[in-house]
Amino acid sequence: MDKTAYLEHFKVTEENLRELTGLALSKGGDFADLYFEHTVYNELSMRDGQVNSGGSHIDYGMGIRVLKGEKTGYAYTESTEWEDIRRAALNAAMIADSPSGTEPGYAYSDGLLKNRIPGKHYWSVARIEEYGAAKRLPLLKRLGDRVAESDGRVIKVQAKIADSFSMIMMYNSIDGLSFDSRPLTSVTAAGIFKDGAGNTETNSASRSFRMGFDLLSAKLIDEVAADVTKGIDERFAAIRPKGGEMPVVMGAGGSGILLHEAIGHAFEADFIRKKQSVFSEQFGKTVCDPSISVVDDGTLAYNRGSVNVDDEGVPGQKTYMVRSGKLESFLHDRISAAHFKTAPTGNGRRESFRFPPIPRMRSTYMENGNCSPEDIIAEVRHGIYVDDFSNGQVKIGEGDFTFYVKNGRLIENGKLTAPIKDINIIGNGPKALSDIVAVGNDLKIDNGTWTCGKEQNCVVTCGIPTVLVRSLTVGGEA
Amino acid sequence: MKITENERKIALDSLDCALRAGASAAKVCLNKSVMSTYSVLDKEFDKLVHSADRSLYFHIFADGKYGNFSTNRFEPGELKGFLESSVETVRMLAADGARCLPAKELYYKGTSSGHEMEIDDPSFDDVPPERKKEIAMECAAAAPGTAISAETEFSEQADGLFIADTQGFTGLGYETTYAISSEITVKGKGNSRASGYFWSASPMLSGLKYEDCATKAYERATARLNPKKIKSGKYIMVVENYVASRLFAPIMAALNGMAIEQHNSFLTDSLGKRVFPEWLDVIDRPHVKGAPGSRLFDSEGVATKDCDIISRGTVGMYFINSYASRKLGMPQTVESASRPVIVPFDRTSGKGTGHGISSLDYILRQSGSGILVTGFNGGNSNPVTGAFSFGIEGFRFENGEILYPISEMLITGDILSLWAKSLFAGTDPLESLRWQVPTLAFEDVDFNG
Repeated sequence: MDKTAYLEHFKVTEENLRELTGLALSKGGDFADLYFEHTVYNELSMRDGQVNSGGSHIDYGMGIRVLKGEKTGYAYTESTEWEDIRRAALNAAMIADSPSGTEPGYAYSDGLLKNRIPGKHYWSVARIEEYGAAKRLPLLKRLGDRVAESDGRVIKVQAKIADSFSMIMMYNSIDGLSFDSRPLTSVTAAGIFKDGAGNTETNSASRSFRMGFDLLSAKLIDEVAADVTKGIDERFAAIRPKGGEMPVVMGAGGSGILLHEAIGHAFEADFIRKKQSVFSEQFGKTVCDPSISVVDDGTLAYNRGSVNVDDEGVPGQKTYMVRSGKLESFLHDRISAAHFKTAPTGNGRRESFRFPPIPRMRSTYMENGNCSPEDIIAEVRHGIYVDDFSNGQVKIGEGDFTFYVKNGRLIENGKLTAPIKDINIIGNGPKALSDIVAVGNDLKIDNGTWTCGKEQNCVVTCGIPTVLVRSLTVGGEA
Repeated sequence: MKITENERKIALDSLDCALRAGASAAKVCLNKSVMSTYSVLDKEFDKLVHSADRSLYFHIFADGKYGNFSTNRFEPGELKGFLESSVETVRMLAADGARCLPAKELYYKGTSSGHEMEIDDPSFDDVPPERKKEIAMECAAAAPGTAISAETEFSEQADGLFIADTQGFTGLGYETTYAISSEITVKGKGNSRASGYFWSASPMLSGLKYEDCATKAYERATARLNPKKIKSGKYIMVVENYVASRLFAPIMAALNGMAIEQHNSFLTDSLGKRVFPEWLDVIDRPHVKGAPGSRLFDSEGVATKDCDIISRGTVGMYFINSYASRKLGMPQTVESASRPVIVPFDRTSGKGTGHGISSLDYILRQSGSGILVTGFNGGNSNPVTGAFSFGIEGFRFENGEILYPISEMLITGDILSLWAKSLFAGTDPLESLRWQVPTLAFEDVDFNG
């Protein structure tokens, strides 16, 4: 779609947009931007062998942000009535009524964005809603049936196909108009298993991409179904290990949660600007082994975390946070970039028009090293191997992070032995980063339904090759 | 902030529209909220956010089938098309005989002005923005200058809910919340930092204690400087009332009827059985005026009432909505607890409710030595088995005295075993929270460090 289609969709003209930003700046603001969004979300759910629940959800509105120095005024409206939009602009403009103790910085990166054009990291050739529920039903049924048939111990199956399509139009007082169409389709399935002894276990799997109906193939459905039953024998047999400090081998893929929690959040430049991050004074310094490079990437094709343009109209990019062991860049939105007199990195993201943008990760991963995964495991005398996770969390100031391990194995004398489950791991970000002593050559991005919950929900992904962390604290029997 | 007559008419008309489009029954929830936040960073006004939301959430039943739909577009013409399309989608799904509206006799039948529970501040719309900004600035002003970062946020929110269905039920509820929070970061040795967070909330602005919020956050931050790691082992664990609900939440999730129906609960087949210690009582008190969480009816319109959730260690009820009721073949209760209360107990002295005050200091003294948990850092619990592992932050205490902060520690166990070793439930739950979970203590908890 071209800009005319977006303007018509949101029932405004470029002259209207100029007038609105003028109104937003009328009380002395330095910068104003407008964010129009129309999202349609659909879901179909299967429970007890039948596709018996479904729904559609429409979200439509626009947000107005005014910056005065580093201060933010934000308001939004769900209405397209001109008077409602004008009122929102005046509410946001109120921020400029306060005296500003900070200068406008670097004019919110004017000039630094020249020659950068929006990417084409995803597009929808097959908008899912055009296919209706009827075409999705057999695929969802197939998913549920595959899980149910895969293992005699399955007693319950839940499966869901969800998709959304967002039309986004942005306008700001420096760069003018930008726009994006964002498809997102997710497939999830979960099974409850019961063995002959009456023990129950659960497992789940998911895939999510910035694609439309073209994502949904029988092959993908079968992959997700297979992942639900993968490792279930081990899960029934799993033990809680003896806890304490020990070496941890983090398998390729979802172990990227280590990067997200241990360093990613602490590199988000709002925390740096506020001097809250444990990495605040580490810019340009060596923070880990020279074999390590960590990237936050908004350019991976069809990736859940990719952005053609971020939610401030800044093109997505591949940002080296750590290159060859040195801290090279923080993750910036326009405010933090202006504060540090650098270019924004395309990390200004938001959950919806209801939220002002803040620095957020996209797809965060570590580049490949030289070791084979087998050699890394063989190095460990006593430790654990983990590769299946759920949630994580970090305390920015202290740098203490945790993540929850659903499944893994003990490592004894260089070999994977007894399965383990349901343990939390805790560590300190800077120390964990410097404690990575081996990096594998098997980088894998985990394409599950990762969602980061910093103040507002944002879709992300993570990835990592197999790595060995010299020491982390592992939960377990005391 | 009020739900207007016109908005209610739109909601009611949309039910008729759904029926005309072929629905056999329908329910609509009209949610409306306004919120403002005033943020101060290092004693300078930093961010002002105004928001106003309203949406219509539909539950549509047609031909024995069910779907749920929502939109924030209220224009009648758009709504008509949306509902017609929604009914069409529902008809493509498989039938599910358990999907229908609740039995009429379960509905709340009194009048509903929305103000009965007195949890909405009548002066919400009258407080000028300048005053709200002043509150944020007054709170921030108390932050000591030695902090390297001090963030304070004042927020106010008003929520309205109008429910109507095609069986004739209508209900209205309003709630307001004022909150102040402060996060202070202080510098420790080298590059290390420590942060402290404190908050206060109240349904009424007059009840909001904001003056010492930043001071308390600062005290918490400095107390956390230079933490130590201690040996793994079994310790007595005292959990502060600000965070204790983390250990109660898995129980509430496991009592949910849908979790029971899906066998996704460690309390499956536990109804009427003593699976908790005999000294544990949990009750639901949904009609306490002025108390957050109080309500006359749940989101299906089912009347709420006082009830025993866990009585002398025996599971007294599951939270069963109309769908779970039909799936499980069990009587409907309410979809969730409104204002659950853990009844105080002191296992060491055998004292129960009404035997004086037992807050944090008392419980620390009685516990002797152990670990005081003041925050959780990540972790999870397995809904099927109840196994949990949580990151914690807190302090080592001996002879009832706090000695030093600890870092990078984990607790691991399973929920039923943990509560079997509970020692204390204090008398100090936070009035501003819906779940009344006081300071708790447990013995023989596995700590890893």
